[in-house]
Amino acid sequence: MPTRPNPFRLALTHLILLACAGLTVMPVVLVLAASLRKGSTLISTRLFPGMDELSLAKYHELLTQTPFLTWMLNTVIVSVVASLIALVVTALAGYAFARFRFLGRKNGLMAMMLLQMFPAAMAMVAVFRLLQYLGAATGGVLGLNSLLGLSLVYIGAGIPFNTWMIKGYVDALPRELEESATIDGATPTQTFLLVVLPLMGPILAVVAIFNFIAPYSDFIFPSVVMFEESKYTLAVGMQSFISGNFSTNWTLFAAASILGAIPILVLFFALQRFLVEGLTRGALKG
Amino acid sequence: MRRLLLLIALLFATCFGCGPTTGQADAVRLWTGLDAEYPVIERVVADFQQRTGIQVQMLKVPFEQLRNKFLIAAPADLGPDLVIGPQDWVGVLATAGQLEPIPQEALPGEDFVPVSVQAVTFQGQVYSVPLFMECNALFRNTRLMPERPRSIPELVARATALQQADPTLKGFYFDLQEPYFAWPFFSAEGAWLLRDKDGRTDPFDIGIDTPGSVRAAEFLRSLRQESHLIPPGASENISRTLFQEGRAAVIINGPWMLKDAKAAGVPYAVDPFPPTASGGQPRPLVGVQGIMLNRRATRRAEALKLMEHLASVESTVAISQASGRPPVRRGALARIQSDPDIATFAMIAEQGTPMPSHPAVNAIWVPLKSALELITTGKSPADRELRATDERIRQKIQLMLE
Amino acid sequence: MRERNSGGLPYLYLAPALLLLALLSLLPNLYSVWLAFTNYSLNHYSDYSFVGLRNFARILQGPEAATFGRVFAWTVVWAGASVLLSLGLGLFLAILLNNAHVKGRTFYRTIFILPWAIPAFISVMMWQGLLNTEFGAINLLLANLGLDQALATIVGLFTNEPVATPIAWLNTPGWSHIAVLAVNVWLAFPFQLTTCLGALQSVPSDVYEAASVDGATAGLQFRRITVPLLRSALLPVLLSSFAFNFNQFAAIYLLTAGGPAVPGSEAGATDILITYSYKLAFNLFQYGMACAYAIFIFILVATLSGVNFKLTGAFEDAN
Repeated sequence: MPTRPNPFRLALTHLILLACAGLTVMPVVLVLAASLRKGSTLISTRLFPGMDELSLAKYHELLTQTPFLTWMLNTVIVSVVASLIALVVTALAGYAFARFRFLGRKNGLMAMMLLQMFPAAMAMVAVFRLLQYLGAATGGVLGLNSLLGLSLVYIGAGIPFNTWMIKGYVDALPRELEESATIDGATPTQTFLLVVLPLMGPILAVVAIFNFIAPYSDFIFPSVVMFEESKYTLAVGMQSFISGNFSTNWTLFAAASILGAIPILVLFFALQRFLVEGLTRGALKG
Repeated sequence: MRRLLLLIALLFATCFGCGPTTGQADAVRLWTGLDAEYPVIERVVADFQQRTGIQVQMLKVPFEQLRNKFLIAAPADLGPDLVIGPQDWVGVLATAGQLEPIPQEALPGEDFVPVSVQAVTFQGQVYSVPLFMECNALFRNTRLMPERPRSIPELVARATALQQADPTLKGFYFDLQEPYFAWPFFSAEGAWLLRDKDGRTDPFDIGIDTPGSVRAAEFLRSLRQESHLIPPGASENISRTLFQEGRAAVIINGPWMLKDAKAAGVPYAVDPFPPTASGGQPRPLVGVQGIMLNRRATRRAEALKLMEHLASVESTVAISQASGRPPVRRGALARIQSDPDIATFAMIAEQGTPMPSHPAVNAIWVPLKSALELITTGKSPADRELRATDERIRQKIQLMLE
Repeated sequence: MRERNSGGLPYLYLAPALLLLALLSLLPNLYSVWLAFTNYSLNHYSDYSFVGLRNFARILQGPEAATFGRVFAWTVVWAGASVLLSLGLGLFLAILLNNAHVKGRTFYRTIFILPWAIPAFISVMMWQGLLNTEFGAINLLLANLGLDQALATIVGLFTNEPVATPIAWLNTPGWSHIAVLAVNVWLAFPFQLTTCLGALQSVPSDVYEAASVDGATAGLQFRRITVPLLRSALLPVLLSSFAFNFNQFAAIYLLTAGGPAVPGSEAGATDILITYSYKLAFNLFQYGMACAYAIFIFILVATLSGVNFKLTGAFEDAN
């Protein structure tokens, strides 16, 4: 991290970044190209389709003949709820593991990690029954066929990993500020809320992104626990385009993938600021 | 910040309103994994509701998740009254004890094509009312190959000549490692997947290790190794694309491709399989989509009425036209003759072999696919590989049925 | 601060996380453990009963038991290489992007997030098309650049692959290993990149400035400042990713379904334990046995992670 830019190194950096960007974007461009084709197959044996083969028909079909917008809204609801609750829950837990000393701390960390390694062979059945009971107990608010219930499932799955990441981040934060706050008479909770939390921006942004994206790629859980098409998430709705016993509509799926990626990119843009915050903070201090 | 909080409050408000709806508690519930047919099924069901006053609640589930969802939800009393699916689900769902045999009064009648009723019968009981069927046929680009080949060797010879004349073309292309597409050649040599004895399927009567199946496997190998028609990496998806781009003369595919084939603007014909070198007639596997009745159905009487309505000539003709899959009733078949492609598929399906409904068939696909790959890539001789595969499949079925 | 025993407060902080975990993770997993000792299967769907260790005995004595060694070895290579390669790439790009002098960082960051924002289901299908031997764009590109022969020769030195073009990416054991790894790195590096970007922010930039003033080169700064400071943040990510990739069903299943086939065994060349056990048990509706496999795999991955913990000292860091 040189303070003065070295033009040669800068050019090299751009060269590398561009090459990686090219490789990264290649399949995505193909998804985009597929979404503009008229047929329904995924792969073209021609690298570049002719202009006459392109059309926005699949986007039109998606927006007018499928509940795409409903699915999208559901996904965003599940993602936002999952991210918010996960942030609160894992920020507290991660901080506790990083800064407090208590009985069962080390074992607790280990147990969390272990829990996450268990392949969920039959978890589906158990989670289904669990949501059934939860639904009965909460009047349907948290149970089957509830977006909130689905959010819970995703939060549960991500807790160990997110907690670990936050703990690791807080571990690396200098303790001086907290120590002086304590000397000034702040309670531990005040220290956490007023001193540490504001410094946790970058890692919280990372955790928010993780939790936001998880519901996008999973079609198995929601397809089993939801009982109305208007409760489906995007992944489930899209899955039905391509799993129709060989009658697959890949191009429609491609169009949905492209539009479906927009909220993720928007969120990423919104959180960019937090991801680069530390740098500016350091610079200001210097 | 305030705007953010407002947004969050709004999201939560939307969420708390989303408990399970109880409004349609007395509706007949129907689940299906069909996609292309779904809008038409919706229309047919709406018509039924209007005519009978019986409420119906439909749910479209991704096809590949539907069987699993039913298996989880049904024992928890959350399953639908009716579920539409292919006959290879019949054996699985019935063995798990979640299906009720179709009652006498709703049984498919005389006008159902025999192969369709045979397909949905499991251990002597009918578990599904057939709606329509599907199977493979040859899609031929009539510009590249104007004459219909009279035999498989002739097809191969012309395909090879075509490819030699123009290497950018494909003469005869399909996923020959996929048992579903390869099966017609096995059936032509007298091979079988599972056979019935006294009206019941014997899960250990497997016919993939016979001199005939070795011949069929050798033929597939020759397509790859000698005629160089189908290199490794061939897939159903690529075959469809090549055909639609006008670059493949003949491919093997099913009625679900008809819509795309028409839209692609390539002149084509649907041909039945011609006989093989040994004179055997290739018979593709026939899948039959039908309606099954949940053993714990709560609105049984109304569900049976809906079943009858969906399986009617009127309804199946409408659904069939949407998807290209031919209907199974003679009366309905008579009315789709105006579409020569669907009619051809119907004719081929009637002479095809039904895909076994017994759950044991699930133990066959993966090993057979590996075997086809090893044989056609020349890694393993056909006779030895098929014998080993047969043995492996038997062990798996033993385990499955315990 | 360091030695403060905080009484009940930590438990209060932990309560929501532990409650949710107990409910949504521990409980369902305990249910799986119980099922592993039953004959829950298609034929005993509602009348299953306790059968003791029978499922485990079958796994260890079954006709396929011998194949487990090969599959296990590949699973370890797969998980380890996936993590190291995607972390390496992610960290490398994160460091490049963490340089305020590089223009267009937002543009690059957005591009690099794309593999994550597009559902793996479709991007993996795209890769399948790209890697097709005959029609794939990768081979077309390599041939046009004249690189295919060179690449085949290089890989031929390290694997048993015959040097042949066009390259059979998904159809021979050696190449398919390379291909699934490459695709998995493509799928996973945005995740690692984001983590690294976040973690790099915990390193105050004045530390680098001080180091630069003292004349430390970039490489030295990386080794002496970045790595130690990132260790605590990245080690758990590394270990979790290892466990995750160990059970990464989707990438393998969607790209090769475990193939290409290997003579004499049900396990294909790219099958990992979880896809293999799916073929052996879940596909056959042997749910009890599938759970037994899950426990078996769990023991393996937990043991390996334990070794990793010891070697890397992740817990020593934590104290």
